[in-house]
Amino acid sequence: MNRLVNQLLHRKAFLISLVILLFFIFIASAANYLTPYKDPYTITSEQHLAAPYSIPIWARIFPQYSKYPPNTNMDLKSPLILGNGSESFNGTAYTVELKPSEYENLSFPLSWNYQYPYSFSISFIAIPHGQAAQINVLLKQQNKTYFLESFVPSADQILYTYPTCPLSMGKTNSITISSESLSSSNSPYVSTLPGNERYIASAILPQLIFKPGKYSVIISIENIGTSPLKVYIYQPKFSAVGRAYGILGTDNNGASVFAEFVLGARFDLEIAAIATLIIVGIGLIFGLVAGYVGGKVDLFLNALTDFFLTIPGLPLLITLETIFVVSGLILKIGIVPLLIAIIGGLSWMGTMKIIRSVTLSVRSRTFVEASKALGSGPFRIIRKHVLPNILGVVFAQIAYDVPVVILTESGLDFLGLGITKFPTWGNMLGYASAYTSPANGFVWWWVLPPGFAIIFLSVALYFIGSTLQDVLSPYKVRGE
Amino acid sequence: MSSLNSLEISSLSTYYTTKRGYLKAVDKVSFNLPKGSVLGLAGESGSGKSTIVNTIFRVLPKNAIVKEGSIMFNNEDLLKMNLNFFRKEISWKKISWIPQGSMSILDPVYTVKSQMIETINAHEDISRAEAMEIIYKSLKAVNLPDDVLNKYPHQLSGGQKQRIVIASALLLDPEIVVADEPTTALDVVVQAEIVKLIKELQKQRGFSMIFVTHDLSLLAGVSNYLAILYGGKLVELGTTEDIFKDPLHPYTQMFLKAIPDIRKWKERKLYYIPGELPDLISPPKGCIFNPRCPLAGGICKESSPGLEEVSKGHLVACYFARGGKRND
Amino acid sequence: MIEAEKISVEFKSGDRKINAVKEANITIGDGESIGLAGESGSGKTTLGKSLLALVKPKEGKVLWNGKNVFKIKGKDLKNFRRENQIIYQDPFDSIDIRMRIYDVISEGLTVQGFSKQEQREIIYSALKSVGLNPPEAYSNAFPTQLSGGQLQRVAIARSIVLNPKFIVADEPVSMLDVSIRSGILQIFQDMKEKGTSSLIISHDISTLAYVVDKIYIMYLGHVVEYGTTQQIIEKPLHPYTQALISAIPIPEPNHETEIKLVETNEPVPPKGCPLYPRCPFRKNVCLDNEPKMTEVEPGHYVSCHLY
Repeated sequence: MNRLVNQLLHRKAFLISLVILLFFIFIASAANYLTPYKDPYTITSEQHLAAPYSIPIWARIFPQYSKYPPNTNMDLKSPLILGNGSESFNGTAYTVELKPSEYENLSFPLSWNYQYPYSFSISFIAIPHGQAAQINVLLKQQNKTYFLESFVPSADQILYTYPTCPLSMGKTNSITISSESLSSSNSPYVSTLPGNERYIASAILPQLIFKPGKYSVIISIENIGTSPLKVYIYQPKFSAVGRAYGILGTDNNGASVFAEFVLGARFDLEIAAIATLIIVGIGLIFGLVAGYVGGKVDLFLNALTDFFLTIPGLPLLITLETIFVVSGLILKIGIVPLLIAIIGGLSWMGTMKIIRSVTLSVRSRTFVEASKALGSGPFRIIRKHVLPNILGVVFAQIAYDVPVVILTESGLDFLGLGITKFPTWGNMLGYASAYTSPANGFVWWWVLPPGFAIIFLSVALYFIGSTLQDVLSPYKVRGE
Repeated sequence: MSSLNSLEISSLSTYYTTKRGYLKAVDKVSFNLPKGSVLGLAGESGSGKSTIVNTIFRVLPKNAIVKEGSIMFNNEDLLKMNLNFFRKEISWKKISWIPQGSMSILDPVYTVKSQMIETINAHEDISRAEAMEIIYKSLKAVNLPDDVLNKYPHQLSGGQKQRIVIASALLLDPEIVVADEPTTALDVVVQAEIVKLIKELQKQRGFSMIFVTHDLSLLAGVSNYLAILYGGKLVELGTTEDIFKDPLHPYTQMFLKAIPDIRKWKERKLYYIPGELPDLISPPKGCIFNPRCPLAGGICKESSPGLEEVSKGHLVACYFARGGKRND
Repeated sequence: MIEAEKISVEFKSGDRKINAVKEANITIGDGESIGLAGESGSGKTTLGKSLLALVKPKEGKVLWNGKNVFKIKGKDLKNFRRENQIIYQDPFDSIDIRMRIYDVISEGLTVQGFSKQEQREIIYSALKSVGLNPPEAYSNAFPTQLSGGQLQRVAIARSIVLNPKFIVADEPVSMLDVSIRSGILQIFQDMKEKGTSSLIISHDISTLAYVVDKIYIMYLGHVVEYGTTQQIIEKPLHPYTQALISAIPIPEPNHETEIKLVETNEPVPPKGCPLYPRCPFRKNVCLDNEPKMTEVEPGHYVSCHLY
């Protein structure tokens, strides 16, 4: 056994392949820890984590991506105070006290080092006590000021020529100004834009406003009533949805590609394991029986195998999918068990032929007859002599069949005939290729990981298989 | 080299490189093949007889190296010759080969005729008609009818195939023929026929021959000289007569005793050499035969005896051989 | 006692049928040592294996203690296997090289229901008796670590641990070097002294003559002659036997072997004597009639129209 391990460890191709395989097994089994998401395809809260087609964070080392903003979330702090009222800060809230017609500006500095984000929002909580207050939110860059929104008591709204939003006096107002919700009906700035830009304002605002540079978020409070006013401002925040996200960026829905990749790895390896067990199980049993028993049994099993070889997989799958999955006419079966059954049921023939031929060659060796001459029955001979001698081939077949399953399953998913509602490497490739365009940089971070994963895993398993076959074959050990 | 010899092998050492070190398959073997004579090269498995043949024909596997020695043929060292020249002008043309299994030389997908023509064309620039003439002649020499020419190897019996191989070896009228276990796969009766044929052809044509075999009884009837190999070393060399009548090396003595002789069946006494063949990667210290030798004394475990002439033309590598000088 | 009656074995290779053995009779008495000689393809191995029911004949039966060995099942079959053993030509092929020597030898004992404790003792004494000393060292080795001769001794040990009454040895020494052959044959002689009967199959009559009591000669599937070793070696009657014996090389310089068969490419006649094309004494009757086995002198049988 030690010699075997030693021999295996001395083969470079095997070692590299083993590392690759273990890497995929690791990410598949640790999927729950690597990503918090369960199914980015159907759960909407797991989408729009960042801009659609966000690049991976690390891709910013390339010059063309260097200024892409990540998701940003910051508390606005240490404001510059400007105005004629009085102001105090107790650690949680800013308190602004204003006599009639006095004003006070809280100007929070914001330094922005990136290109424009996908969207941004400014939020805070305001509790005004008094008769009437106006709270304006502005974004200022050097000498350019964007008057984003204005809040006044609803009774006073009519007095303004620019669009305003209602403010409830004496109550808690949760104010969120998001680029996506700004329009000419609620934003003074948007209402000054030229006509066509006004309609798509929510999409182009970040682009219009943000460039690398220093900004200030200004919350301006004015007493428009006739009695003193007291306003509390809590938790002023700025956030932006970035265009660079995570290890592998995002897809067209802004969902994490890494999450999809990891979940796909788990699913692909699971389905490969189950289907391969079916394939090697059927292949081994049929192959052993056909090869060992021979004669008419061999003839029958061979004919059966040839019959299965002639069945075209794709049309059969479409038919069965229609019957069992879509219409549920006879029996409602999930797509996953059906896929496993189809792939397993239509891929065992090669394995059976190979196991049969090695069984035939082992059976013709004298030690099998010698065992019979000692009084061994067929089961003992198979267990003690045939199986151990074909073990290398069996392991190799397992290694060769896993890529077959993954490739077939991925192919079906890619075509949209297999699994579509849950991430797999195949349908990742399918969706990615459907949404690929020069405009989104060919979403290489979406296409390459599943593509390379399929290639690397297949090649690694091929090498593992051929090495195992080589090393486990006793008649090679002898040095012949 | 002497003009009386057609081949002179001196101090030939061929080693194989293995993971554990050198395997000394042939270790300082020297012998001459006198013109027009048959030299029997006899030994058991691992004695190095096949390696010597492969060295002569320069078809050694990649892990083999010729450590030292020369094989002189017409005053030229075969081992130093340009390989392409050797293959075109010497191999098969001047020194030809009757290999062990006929299947290793007869290709099952070609007729006998096309294979023989190809053999001739590879070495000689002659017309098809001339080639056919040579082929008919050589078939006649091995007592085969002409109709075998259009047959495929599988349509022929084992004896016929071996005759074709012999005919092919003699096509180009070589000076030396190396017969490498030419009868191993054949039945006793066919073996006797083939040996008789080879003997007759050798007498008629006068070529020199090295007859390699593990079967000393075969050599008794064929060869003029015998070279006995054991564990890559030449242990005894002499005329066939001398060696059978008066074997000097304990290995030769015991080996001859171990050969069953049908005339002595009633004795029912079986002899064998106890022990196993030596490991040629880490051979025993001293004489290679000492672990199995009944005569082995202290000196035998210390140093390896060289080949010494005991009587005229009879050489033996043993400290205790009769008449041999002890070097201690 | 094993008795084969009119055994015929046919092999199919594609559409062709080959009669490997044709109506062969052979009897092995208790404690007898029999030689079976013939050229390759004469059917001697097939006949030997059919005695042990390892080859199924088309016709004929083999009686073991009065029971037809092709019909026995269950416990009888197990006993039959234990009492009748076989040793093959190529030890590298007849031993599963994945197993340690100990496991190779214990297989038969395990199958026959010996306990682990019993096995150890039996295996060690068997290894000793075939000359593999010390047994502890050999029993842990792998077959790849042994030479052909040592491995053949292991194969013999595997058979004799079952204490068989009859052993078929199929060319037991032909793969081995001449200098160690007799060492293996010695084991057979020792077994014979203990009363084990054997059938030694070989193409090499000179070796056979040293160890067996009776010799059967086969040619193209037919038993053509049998008798005591003395009768066969010194007074061979069948032209084939005569040719076979005179073709044996003699280890003596300048000894000429005689060739007594005709070289030919003629086909074997379908109904006549199988030797017809090569026989120097052939007559017209030989072409159409297969000769019958006749007793020429006590215990010496030959199937030839000359007698």
